[in-house]
Amino acid sequence: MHSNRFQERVLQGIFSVWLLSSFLFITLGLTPEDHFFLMLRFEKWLALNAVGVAVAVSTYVFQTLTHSRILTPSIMGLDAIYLLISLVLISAFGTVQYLAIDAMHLFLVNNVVMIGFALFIFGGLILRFHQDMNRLLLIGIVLGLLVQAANEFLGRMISPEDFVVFQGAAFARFDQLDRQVLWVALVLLAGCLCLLWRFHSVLDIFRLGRSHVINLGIAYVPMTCLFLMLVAVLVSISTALVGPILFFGLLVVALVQQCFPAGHSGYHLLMVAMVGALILVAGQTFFEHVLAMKATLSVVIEVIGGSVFFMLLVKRGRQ
Amino acid sequence: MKPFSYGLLASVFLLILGAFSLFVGAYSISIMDIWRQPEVSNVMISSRIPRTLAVLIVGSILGIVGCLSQSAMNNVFAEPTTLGTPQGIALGLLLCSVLFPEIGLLGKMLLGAGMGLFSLLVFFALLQKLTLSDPLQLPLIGLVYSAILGAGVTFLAFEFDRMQMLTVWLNGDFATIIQGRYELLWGALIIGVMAYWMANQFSMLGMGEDLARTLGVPYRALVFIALAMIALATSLVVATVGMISFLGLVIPNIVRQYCGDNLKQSLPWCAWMGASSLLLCDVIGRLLTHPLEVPANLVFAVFAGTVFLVMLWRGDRRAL
Repeated sequence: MHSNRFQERVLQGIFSVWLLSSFLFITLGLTPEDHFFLMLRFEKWLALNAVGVAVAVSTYVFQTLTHSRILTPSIMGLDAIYLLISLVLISAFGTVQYLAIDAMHLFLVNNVVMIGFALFIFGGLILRFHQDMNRLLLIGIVLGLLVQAANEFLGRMISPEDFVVFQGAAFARFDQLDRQVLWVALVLLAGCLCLLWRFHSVLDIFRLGRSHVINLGIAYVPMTCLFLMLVAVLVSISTALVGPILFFGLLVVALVQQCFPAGHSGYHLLMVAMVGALILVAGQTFFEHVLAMKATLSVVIEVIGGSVFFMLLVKRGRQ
Repeated sequence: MKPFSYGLLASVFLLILGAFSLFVGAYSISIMDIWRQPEVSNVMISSRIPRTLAVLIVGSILGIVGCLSQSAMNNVFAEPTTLGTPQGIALGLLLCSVLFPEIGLLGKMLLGAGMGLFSLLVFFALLQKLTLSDPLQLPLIGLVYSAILGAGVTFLAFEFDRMQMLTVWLNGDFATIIQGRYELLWGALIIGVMAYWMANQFSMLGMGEDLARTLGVPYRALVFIALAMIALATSLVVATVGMISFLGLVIPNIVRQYCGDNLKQSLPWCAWMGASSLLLCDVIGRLLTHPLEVPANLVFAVFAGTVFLVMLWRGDRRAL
């Protein structure tokens, strides 16, 4: 076990690397006069950090709740459900009305529906199958595939004009951020993180397992519901900002858990948030400004994260 | 009822559905017109009949392949989609179109099947090392295996500007089937017949390695033959119409509940049920957004995914 001092040092080190890469990301190739571009990059930087933190923290909380190193919200199909919701809204209202709704309101409506879904499906699933992790995982993966197919199916049913609107809603890339949504997302993210921080000691107990939580007098079901709601909001934040990223959260949390298996939940939360933000910011700086390639970061993350997932599965199969 | 009358009923149902499929599409046809107007009979011969035949062959062959892979892997969740085979085949076809664009159709097919077989063998070797404690682990590992393979193939396709071809291979769609473009599928049908001919041997594979050896079956050789047949049949399907996900998983599992594990009995029913359900999905896809179409693969995926989820949710250990 590493000493506290060492852990603090590591956190400080990561923080300074993050500061350095943030500085590079915003300023590389620009002069102080380019206000417009600096502002643009600053917003992009904010979004990258928000996504990194939201994905990593939601994955960590979800894994603690389900007591598993393999389950993540996106493997369970949660962000696919987010896309399904926006598609259903578009096909129900039609483009004109959909566009008439404020982007911010839309985001909030999506959030509320997501929370409902997360509680209903995952609460039910986890309570029902918490001893049968393979089944839970498989249900999640098949659910993700099914929702993907349903999305494509609905996408064929609506008119091409509606579909263009859907694509805009579903795959908001970093280059075309909705400013309003970004700020709302940031406020929501801050709220979620504060709440989580308030209850991070409860997460410590959740890591001991379900029976310990109940034994120690913590209301198991309400607390699980609270954490699931937070996870749902965090996932909708990241999906609204960049669209689904399947294996990123898994990669970050596996990295942190592998290096520091013994830390407190509070330390882990800080660590995964920092590492998540760092990987996205540094990776994007490297790929966009140094290599001048745009789409590659997500592919690289997916391939590495997928391989880590595969290793974890195989390791479990061996035991 | 006797088995024979079941068979008669099933064939009549399939015939009616097939006849119905001939008259559904963007170009409306009535029975009387076929003899009167030459262009109508042209539509029939060059598009509708090949399309219906292609759907029937693909549905039945994928049902058979699914059933066969479940016996060969000794796991009820094994199926080309959960084994990474379509992605392996797509890799082979992609390499073929990049490295040897001049090669003929047969060479392309063989390379695709070869890569598919290779990915199957790699996965099979991996499974041998793991000794799974739970049958659910196979589709879990397999789906991730195919996701990683798929990511690699997507990356290559992106680099060489072959994305469009890749989407065609991985998403089954019968809209492009016309006369002269589906005939390779007859080869797949021959493989299906061969599988039925060897059904008794393959049934013994499903009892596990030890019991199969005790019964005097050359286990390794037979597994290799089964995997090669799976790879070849799937590659024919992938290259002509594209993959239909989960057909081989859902259909044989439903059939197994009624017919048991004897392949001589269950294979024909897998073929029938695969063919009729896929044809139904194709017809629905043609009717939903008439005169446009929804690919059969999507309709089937929504249907099969739901069925699979219900099976998993019920947690019926006997069925799955």
